[in-house]
Amino acid sequence: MILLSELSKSFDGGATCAVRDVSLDVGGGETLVLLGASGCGKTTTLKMINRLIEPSAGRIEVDGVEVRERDVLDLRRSIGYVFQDIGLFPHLTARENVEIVPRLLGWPVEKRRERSAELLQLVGLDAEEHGGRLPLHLSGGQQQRIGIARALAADPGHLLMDEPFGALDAVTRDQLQRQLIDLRAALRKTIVFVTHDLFEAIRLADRIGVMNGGRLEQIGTASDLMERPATPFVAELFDHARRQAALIGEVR
Amino acid sequence: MCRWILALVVLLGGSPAPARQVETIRIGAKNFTEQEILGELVAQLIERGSEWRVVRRFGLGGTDLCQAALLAGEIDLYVEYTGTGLLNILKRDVIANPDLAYRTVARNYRLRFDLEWLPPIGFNNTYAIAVRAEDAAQRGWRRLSDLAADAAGLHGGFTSEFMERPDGLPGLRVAYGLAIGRTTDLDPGLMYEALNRGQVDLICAFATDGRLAEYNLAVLEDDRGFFPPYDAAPVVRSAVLARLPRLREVLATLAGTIDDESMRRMNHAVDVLKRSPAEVAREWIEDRLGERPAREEAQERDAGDARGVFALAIERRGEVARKVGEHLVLTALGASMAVLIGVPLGILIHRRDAARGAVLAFTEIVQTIPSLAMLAFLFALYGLLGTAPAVTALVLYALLPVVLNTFTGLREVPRQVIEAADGLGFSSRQRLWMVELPLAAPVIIAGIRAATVLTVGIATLSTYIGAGGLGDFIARGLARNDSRLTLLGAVPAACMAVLLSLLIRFIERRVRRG
Repeated sequence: MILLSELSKSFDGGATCAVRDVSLDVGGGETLVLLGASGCGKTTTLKMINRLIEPSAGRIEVDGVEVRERDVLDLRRSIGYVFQDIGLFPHLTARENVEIVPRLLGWPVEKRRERSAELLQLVGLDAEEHGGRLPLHLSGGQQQRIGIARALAADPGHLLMDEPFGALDAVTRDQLQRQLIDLRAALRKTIVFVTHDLFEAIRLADRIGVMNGGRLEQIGTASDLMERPATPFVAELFDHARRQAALIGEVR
Repeated sequence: MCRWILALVVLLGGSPAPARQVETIRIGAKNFTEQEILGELVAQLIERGSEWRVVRRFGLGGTDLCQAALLAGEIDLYVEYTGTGLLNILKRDVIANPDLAYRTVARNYRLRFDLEWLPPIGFNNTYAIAVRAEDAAQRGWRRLSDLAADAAGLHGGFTSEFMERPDGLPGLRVAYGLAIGRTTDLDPGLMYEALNRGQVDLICAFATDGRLAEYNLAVLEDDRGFFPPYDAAPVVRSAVLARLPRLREVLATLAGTIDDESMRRMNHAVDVLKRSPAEVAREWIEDRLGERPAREEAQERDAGDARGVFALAIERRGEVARKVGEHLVLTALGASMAVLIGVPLGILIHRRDAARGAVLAFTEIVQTIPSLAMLAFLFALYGLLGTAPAVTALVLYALLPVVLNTFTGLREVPRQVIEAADGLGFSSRQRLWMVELPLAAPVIIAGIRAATVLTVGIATLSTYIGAGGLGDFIARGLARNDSRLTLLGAVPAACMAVLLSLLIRFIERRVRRG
């Protein structure tokens, strides 16, 4: 269970406000997608959850404990994180990348090996074929699969994903989205997923939180938002998407 | 690793107690031929006349260094000249009378430094202005006062010491109204050749220099008696004389026995005939003690000595190997300590912006200090000769490439990789060891490679504070104008630099490959 309560973050000593009064909760294997344009505060919100950024005001609880009361390294190791620009360690092989958090946690080698083989298979890679390669010798899609496997390695209860498929081509993105859906069904992790792509949000989300200018405009299921938009911004977002979908329909 | 290096430092720099109690006498000499011959004379007389162990610390880079080494007890004696003692050390005015000059330095040294002047050896190695003989004939120069009228159009080549000494150029200018048009600072070993080739018109020769005859040079008469007496005599620490009173007797053989002409001949034998100072000294002693072998034999050996650098290298391979070893140890100590200090400093300035400016400025300023000045300064600081100050200088020079490359290497680690490490819960130390250093390693190793090559080069200057290494050959070659000797030091040093660079490049490739 992740709970945000009146969370705010301002930079430059309060001059610019990145996140304002965001309150939400997510848990029980649910996937919450934070949706918004770049600069809307969604990534900042995500980073505050594992204290990559410290909040200016408000509370964050993970499993009932305020995050600032926890050891920051323990906190981060207990939450899986998938980065927008992947951030694989270029000097380590795919397998070593996956095993890195268990290594930090001091798991024995055999247990690490077993876990990485299992996870590589889970994300659709062959441990024999891909495990020994350096990131340089893997495609973008393969790299982000390794990134997801790495985030899952120590079996965290929660997964934070920061536009993980943003840099991938449309076909690969589609594959990975499908794979994530399967994965989620198998693992039942609570996921907070950040994206600017409405279709991705609709596809992956149990609930969507729309952010704009640092505020959470509305939070709810895709159909809630579509049928009962609370603000003009949310209405316009869906109208725009509908027009695009119609355009595809006309082509057909 | 740390302990290993420490052990090496102790082994080389420290003076471990000898197995049996033998008295040791350490003899110093400055870095020119005559000093080395005199050093050998003193050393060999002691070796013949006593059971004491003799340590030779020759090639020290200047009067101040010798004096400081005596005072620090790093050497026990060396041969000094009265004029030098009077002007350079005591900072007194010129005393024209040789006896008075000797008595003055002897008294003052005893009172001020607890150092004793033994009786003068006999010759007076004063400065002498030398010109090409044909110039002297053509322009009618016989005496120094004849030069005044032509001085503005002349180019003088002088040692850096002469340029600044009160009994050198500054005094000469006043005494003779000599305004020389242009001057160039020259190494004492190169002056004669420069004059001979017409690159300069006059030089500050030494009266006993063997090359005066060799190059057909004329010495101008000091008609106003400007140059003070430079009578040579051994200067000994009084404590040593008190402990070993027989030393006085052993060295009595030297008193008043070598005149200007004899000294010039010995210098000539080394500088021009390329014979070794040790051999020339031995012959003089054998001559003196009536054990001299036939002269022809010696002549034959002279001819045999004028061989190429390869023959010389083969003949002296043992010494070359030892010097290569010394040089390697200096380089290894200097470079490895620069790494042990430089990498952490690089890490520090990467993490703490506040420290960056100061650390980089320090390492850059160090680079601009001339090596010899640095060595002299460090010697003064440590109060001892040899490995410790030499290695310190090497470390200081090698610091910049190591620090800079460590900093640059760390800064170039991609931002997203750092963010990933933080996001996954690496501690700051884990991030450094598991991510940042491995990724920066190729750049850091390139810096270490640059530092190592630099160190091999700078280590050749360690000779001037008695730390040995290949610089010994180079300095001796320069002092004697003997290119074979210079090459004997320079070629192995160059090879060493190339080989070490290749070795480190190989390691670098291995690391890069992961």
